[in-house]
Amino acid sequence: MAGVVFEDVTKEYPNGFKAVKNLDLDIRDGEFLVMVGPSGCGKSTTLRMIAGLEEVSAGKIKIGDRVVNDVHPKDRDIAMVFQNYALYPHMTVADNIGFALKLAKRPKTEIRDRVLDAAKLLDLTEQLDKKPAQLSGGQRQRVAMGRAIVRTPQVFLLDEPLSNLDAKLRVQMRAEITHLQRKVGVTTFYVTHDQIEAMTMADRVAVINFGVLQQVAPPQELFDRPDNIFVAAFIGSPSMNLLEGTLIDEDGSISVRLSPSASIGASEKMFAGRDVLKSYVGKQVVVGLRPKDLKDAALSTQFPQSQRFRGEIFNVEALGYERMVYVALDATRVVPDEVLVADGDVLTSDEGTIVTARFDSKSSVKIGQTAEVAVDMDNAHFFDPSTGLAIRD
Amino acid sequence: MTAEAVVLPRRRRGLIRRSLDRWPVKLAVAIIAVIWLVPTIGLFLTSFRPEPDIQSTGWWTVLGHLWKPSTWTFHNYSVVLFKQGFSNAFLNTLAVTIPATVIPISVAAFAAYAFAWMKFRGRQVLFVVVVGLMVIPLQMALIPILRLYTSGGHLFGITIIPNMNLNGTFPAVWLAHTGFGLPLAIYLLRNYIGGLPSSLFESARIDGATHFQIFTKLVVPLSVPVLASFAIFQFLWVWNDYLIALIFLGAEPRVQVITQAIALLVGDRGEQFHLLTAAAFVSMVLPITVFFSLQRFFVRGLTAGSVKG
Repeated sequence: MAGVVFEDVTKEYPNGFKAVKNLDLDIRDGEFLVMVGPSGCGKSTTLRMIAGLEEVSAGKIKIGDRVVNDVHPKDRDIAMVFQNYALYPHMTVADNIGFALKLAKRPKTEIRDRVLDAAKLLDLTEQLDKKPAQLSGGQRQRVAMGRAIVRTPQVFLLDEPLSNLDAKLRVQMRAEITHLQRKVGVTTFYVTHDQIEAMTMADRVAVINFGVLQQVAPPQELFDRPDNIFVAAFIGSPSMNLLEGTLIDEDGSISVRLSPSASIGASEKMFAGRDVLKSYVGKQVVVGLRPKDLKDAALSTQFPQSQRFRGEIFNVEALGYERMVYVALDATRVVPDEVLVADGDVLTSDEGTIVTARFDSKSSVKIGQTAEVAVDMDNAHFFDPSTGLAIRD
Repeated sequence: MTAEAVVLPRRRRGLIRRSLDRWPVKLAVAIIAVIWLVPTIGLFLTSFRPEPDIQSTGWWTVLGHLWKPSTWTFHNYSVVLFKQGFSNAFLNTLAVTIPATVIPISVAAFAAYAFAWMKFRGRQVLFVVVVGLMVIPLQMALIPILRLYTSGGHLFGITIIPNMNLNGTFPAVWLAHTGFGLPLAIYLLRNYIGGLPSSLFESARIDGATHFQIFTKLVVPLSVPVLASFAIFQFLWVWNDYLIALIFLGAEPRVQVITQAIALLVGDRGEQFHLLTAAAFVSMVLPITVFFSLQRFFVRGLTAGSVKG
C-alpha cells in the first residue's frame, strides 16, 4: 500500500480553463480522504489525474515513492469506481469482477478464488452468474466495489459512487463502504459533492472550490474551525448563518452590531484563541452562527439578555427530534461567491434576513409568532470580510 | 378480491378507449401497407399463372376464379429453377455477397473504434474526409477502378499498384463493394460506438486492457445491434446489385450472379415476362429470410446512428 502526494499540481485544459490550481495534498497511507466541493470545482479532475485518465499540466503526482505523471493507468496499481459504475453490461457479475485479473493472465483457479472471496466480502455470492441489468442499484454498486477490491490495488479511487442511489440506500452504502475500507485498509480517495458523505465517511476531508484547495482537516475540525467563509458555508447542514456585522465597544462591553436595530453582545469565551479579534473592534466582520447555536430563549435561560434577539417566526419544520426554525432578523446575509449549497438558499422577508435555528423539540414556537432567540456566542465564528479568512490567532 | 372487482372494469374500459384512439392510426398504416404491397402481390400472383393468361389478361382477373385449377401453374418456377446455370448463379451470388458484407463490416468496426476512442492527430479531418466520400457517385468510380484492375496504378511512370489481373474475379467485386460500402459503415458504426459511455473505456483501461482487447472484449459485443443492422443493409445492397457485378465480373455463365441470370432470362424485349416473375421471387427468398431474422436489430440500429445513446 502507499499514500498519494500532490506536489504543486495544476491542470489546465487546452482552452485555457484551469480546473485545478497549484494543488498540494498528502493522502496518507491507508487513509480515507474525501474531497468535497460544489460541481465543477475540480474534484473529479483531481481524481482522474491520480487514475491517469487526465494528464497533469504541471507539478508531480506520486503514488508511494513513484512519480506517476507519465505512467499508464493500468501500471499505476489503482482501482476506480465510477459514478455510473461502468459495469460491462454483457458480462456476468463474476466476469465483471474478474476482468482485470483475466487481462493480467492470472491462472483460472486463482481468478475464481479471488472473485469468490470478493463476492463473499460484498455479499454477492448469489449474484455471480447474473448480468448487471438483473441487479438492483445497491448490488451494482457492490459489483463495482468488488471489481476494485479484487485487484488489491495500492489506492482506491471512488468518483461520486453513491449519487445514483436513492436516499435510503445511500445511507446504507455509506456505512458499507466505510466499513469495507477500514477492513481492507487501502488508501482511498473519494470524491463527492455531498458534504454529509464527506463528514460521515472520511478520516480527513479536503474542501476544494474553483480548483483551489480550501482546507484539509478531520470532519469535526472542519466543522468547528473552518479556515474561511467558503468552508464555513459549505460544511454543515443546514448551513451556517453568515451575517455582516461591526464589532463595537460601548463603555467596555463589546458587541456585534448587525444593523442599527439589532446587535448581539459578546461573550467571554468568544475571544478564546483569537485575541486578534479584539483588534477588529470598530471594524467590519462577518459573523457566522451555526443553527445549533441559535436556541429557543424560553428553554435556554442561561443566556444573558444581551445575547438574545427577537424575531418573527417565518417557518417551523418539526423533525421529531428537533425543530428547524426560520427566524427573521434585521441583518444582512453574506453569500460567499458561488456557494451552491442546496439548503443554504438565501431566504429573505420584509422583516429582514431569515436565519436558520435548530430548536429543541420541546420548543413551542409557532409560525407568525415573535419569539426570542438566544445566541451562543461562545461558538460564533468570525471572518475578515476583505480576505474571507477566519479571524483567529 | 373486492379490490380486484373494482379495479378490473375500469382497466378494461381504459383499454377499449385506448384501442379506439388508435383506430385512425391503424387504419392509415393498413392502407399504406396495402397500397405498397399491391405491385408485389400482383407479381406474386402472376408468377403462378400460365404464360398465355399473363399475355392476355391482367393479374387481378384471377380474383374472379381463384379456385379454378387451370388458373394456376408451377411451370414458371420449374423452368426457372431447373434452367441451366440458375443454381450456379445462386451460389455465385452467395460467394460475392458474404465476403462483400463481412469485409467492410470488419474494416469499418476497427476504423469506427479508432475514430471514436483513439486520440491521434488529424482524427477529425480524416473522419470528415471518409464521410465526405459518401457524396462520390458510384458510377464515376467504375472506369478508374476497372483500369486499376486491368493495368495497375502508375504515377509518372512509377508503378504504385501492380497489375493483379483482378478483373472477372470475385475479389474484384468484394473490393469494389467494400470501397463503396465503407463510408456509410464507418459513419454509422462510429456514431454508435462513440455513444457508448466513456467510463466503460476508462474502466477497461484501468483494468489493464489494450485498445485491441477493448475492441474485441467490449466494443464488438456491445455493438451487435449496429453491426447487424449494417450487415442487413450491405447484404441486401450487394445481393440486389447488378451494375458492379456486371462490370467487374462480366456476364460469363461461370461467374454470373443471380441478377444477371434473371436479366438474361427475360431477353432483350421482355418476352419471357412470366419467367421473370418467378425468378424474382426465387431470388427474394434469401434476403427476406435474412431481413426477418435480423429485423429487430434493423429498426434499433438505424435510429442508433442518428440519436446518441
